[in-house]
Amino acid sequence: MIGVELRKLALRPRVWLSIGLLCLLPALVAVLLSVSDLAPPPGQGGAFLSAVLRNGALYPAAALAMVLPVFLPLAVAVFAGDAIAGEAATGTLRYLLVRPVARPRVLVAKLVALAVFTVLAVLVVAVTSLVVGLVLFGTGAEAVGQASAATSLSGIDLSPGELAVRMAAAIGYIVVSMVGFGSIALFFSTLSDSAIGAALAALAVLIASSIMETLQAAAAIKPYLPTNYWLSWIDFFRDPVFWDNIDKGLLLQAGYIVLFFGAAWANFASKDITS
Amino acid sequence: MIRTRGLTKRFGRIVAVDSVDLDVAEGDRFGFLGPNGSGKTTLVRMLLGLVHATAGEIEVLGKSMPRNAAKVLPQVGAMVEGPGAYPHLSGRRNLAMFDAAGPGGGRRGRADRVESALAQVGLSGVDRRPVSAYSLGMRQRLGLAAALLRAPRLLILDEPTNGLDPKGIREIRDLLVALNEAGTTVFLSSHLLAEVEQLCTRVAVVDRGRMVLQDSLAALLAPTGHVLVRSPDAAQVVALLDGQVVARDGDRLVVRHADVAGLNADLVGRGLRVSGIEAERRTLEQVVLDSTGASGDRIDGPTGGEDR
Amino acid sequence: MAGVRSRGLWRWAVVVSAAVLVLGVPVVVTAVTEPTGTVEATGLRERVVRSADVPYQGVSVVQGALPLPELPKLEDVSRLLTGVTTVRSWYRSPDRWRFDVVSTAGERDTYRTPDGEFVWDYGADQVTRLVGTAPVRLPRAGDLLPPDLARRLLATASGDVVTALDARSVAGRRADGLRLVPADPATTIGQVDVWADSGTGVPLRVEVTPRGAARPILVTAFDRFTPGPPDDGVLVPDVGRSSGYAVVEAPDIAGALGFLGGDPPQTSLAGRPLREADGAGVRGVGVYGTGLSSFVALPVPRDVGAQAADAGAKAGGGDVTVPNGRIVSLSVSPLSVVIARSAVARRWYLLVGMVDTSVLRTAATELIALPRRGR
Repeated sequence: MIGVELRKLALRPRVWLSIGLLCLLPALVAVLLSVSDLAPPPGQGGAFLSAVLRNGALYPAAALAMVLPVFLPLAVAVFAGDAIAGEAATGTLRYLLVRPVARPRVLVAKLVALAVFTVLAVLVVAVTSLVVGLVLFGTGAEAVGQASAATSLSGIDLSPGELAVRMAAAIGYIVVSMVGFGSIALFFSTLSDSAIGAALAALAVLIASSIMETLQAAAAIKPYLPTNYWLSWIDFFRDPVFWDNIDKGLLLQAGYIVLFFGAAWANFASKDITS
Repeated sequence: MIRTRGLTKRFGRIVAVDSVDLDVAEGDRFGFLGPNGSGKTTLVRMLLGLVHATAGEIEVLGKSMPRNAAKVLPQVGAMVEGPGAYPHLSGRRNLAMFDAAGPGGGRRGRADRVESALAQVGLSGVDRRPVSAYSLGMRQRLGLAAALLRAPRLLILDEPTNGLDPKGIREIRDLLVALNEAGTTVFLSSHLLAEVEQLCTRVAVVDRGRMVLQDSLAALLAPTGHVLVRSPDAAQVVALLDGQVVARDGDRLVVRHADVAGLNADLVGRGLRVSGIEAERRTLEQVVLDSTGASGDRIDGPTGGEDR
Repeated sequence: MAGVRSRGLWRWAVVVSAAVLVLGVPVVVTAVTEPTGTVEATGLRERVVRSADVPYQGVSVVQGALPLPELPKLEDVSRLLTGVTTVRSWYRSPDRWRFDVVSTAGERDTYRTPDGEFVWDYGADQVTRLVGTAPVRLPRAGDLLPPDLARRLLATASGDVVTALDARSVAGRRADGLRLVPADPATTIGQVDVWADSGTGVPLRVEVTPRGAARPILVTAFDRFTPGPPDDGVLVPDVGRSSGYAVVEAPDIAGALGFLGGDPPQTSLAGRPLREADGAGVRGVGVYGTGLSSFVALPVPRDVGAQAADAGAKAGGGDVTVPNGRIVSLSVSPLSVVIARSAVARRWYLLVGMVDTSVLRTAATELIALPRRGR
């Protein structure tokens, strides 16, 4: 079943379209930056944006910071919201179930497909923005004569190897965050027969969480908000690596995955399929 | 093959299926008839474990459902409420997906299984275009092919000829008869009387969730004991068969008589001309109408149906 | 069949119990392990004040809730006192430490080594070496770390009485509590609550509550605290060669405000003696009073003074014209700010302190009555 889901993913034009759109925004920003040569002032703008003008190798980090707040979760919500509700709408869900595929297996396959989709999306964004960054901004070698190292947020030089390791860790963290959010959308997808409805419900959660994050009055529940630690992947680029929020974020997302995947299972396994 | 006892399904306060006792024997071509909204589809979904029964028991292939779904369903081919397919993929790819999803869907032999299913439903020449470009009839055939992938012992089909042209309907009927003769039990749910009448050997009728009738088609359509006689000498016939004539309409007579040939010989022997004579049989339509109420999708106002 | 209906419910029961477990276990564990009891307050205060040599590393969160308006040229300070700041710190000894102010946009790291102070600013991509230290400078995140803030407050208010508070758990460690209530009626500070690590005496949590307020105005506490010396590597500013490097004088209030120097401070203001003259090494800056009721008075350039006065008046401060000039007073509990213009000497003064505004107004009235002296 997992293989079937992955084949569906690969054969779906919409998947590749959404990943392509995700890559477009950072590419566009990169072109504008390199044409105008105007980096945002220090301390403002997206993370890493001011640093990429000096070294394009950091552009993947800047690109991820750009797509993480809205566009990546949007793609994940649409994909995960479609998981069950979309199958119900095309009428294929009942045929999978009478094949038979056990309902928990359907859900597990959907979760795996969601994780693979997220990995794919984040990796493609990272690779395209690395290429775009190196082409448009170079490695800083043009000015100094030798490639300047990318600096961490703490000012310490990162060798290309170190940068790659930290980048990989950051990508892993982002994937976990997105799968945590996607499992919420997956749960909504088992509630509704409308893929759009499920995706919109998940986005409503995202927006509500983002609003409450900025609210002082919501400070007590802030550590439990799904979006609270999303940006903590930046902490991989500090020196020494700032693990505290990364650990908390991973724990929180694991909790979201367990609870919402569990809720999706509880609902879907006993649900009457009337689509 | 299928046996239900007191099968009941309630959606909130609506009773969709009301204590149905269904018996389908091996080798049957079973017609499950009922108007729209009579609970046919809900019952079919319960047989397949898609909808959970509120009460009652279900046995399919001798095992209780849905507990044994993993053992039972691989031997069942099903089409429920129209075909379902991934619209952006070709028909072949769709079948390959469904084949791979279930048990026994190893990579080896998959192409053969897909091709033979396509050939059975008359789609072997289909090209790579996506299902979204298929006609309704082609989709219907594809859905049937998906049901046939595993050479099932039991076929459960819900309105299988929907969207097919008369020739297509004929083809599918022939296919189902051939499969049945090869040993497959066919359970056909439909609101089309003609379809059931032409294909099935046994019939059940449901109305508003209740099963009102379950019998073999031959028994339902057995002679009524009346003979329809058409004669230019109708008046003399009436005089001759005094008391046996049930109704008369011009030259048409309905006569209570057990032996058509004997009656014919009798009339002709007395010099009465007979232009037509046959035993009266009820049509399935009459049987169904007699046993069911108003149309399922008709909604009358509180004062009756005539208001505008 | 009862089994049919209950089939869905047991799954939900599993999920709900998992949720209760996930959410409830930390709560229960916290409740069970929450320490109780008190220790003798005066002794604890002694341990806190003497804990400056205890090395540690940790992460603390500074939460300020001062309703501070945006002060011209002091944005960094007002951000610190009005919002939430996360600070990582490594501390070996009073002259060997590092603290990082981290944010999603970058970070600002301050290193203290025997060679001086280094500040790395990611946004500016530059490391700055600071020459000299100033007794008075702008408050920065490092001053509000629980150990620094608690030691400073307790040392300043050495005359005030402390009482014991119930111990609590901070950063997963047992912390004994004490409360300091300043005796001086002029101060705006109602109480200072300090919880210090039972083992080392290092303050782990500080709450500052203004007089008459129900909630603390400043809470600073460790999220994670590990006693023991940090790695040497962490304490050395090893900044890449591609980044900029600069050397500047230590920043101070006067520098930030563009102060150019002036008359020597008065020996007393509002009845409070001068404690430090020429604070920050700049002539004219005076620190008056003792304990928590001390305040700073300094002359400022005309543009800064006028801007600050307007901002203060707009923020709802009292704006009065007196015979010798104009006095704008603003109370941002527990902080009081007075900006005064002397018509006599045509000069602006800024007075800041955690004292009642009336004290600062009296001091300002005395200041603006002074005639301009020659150099």
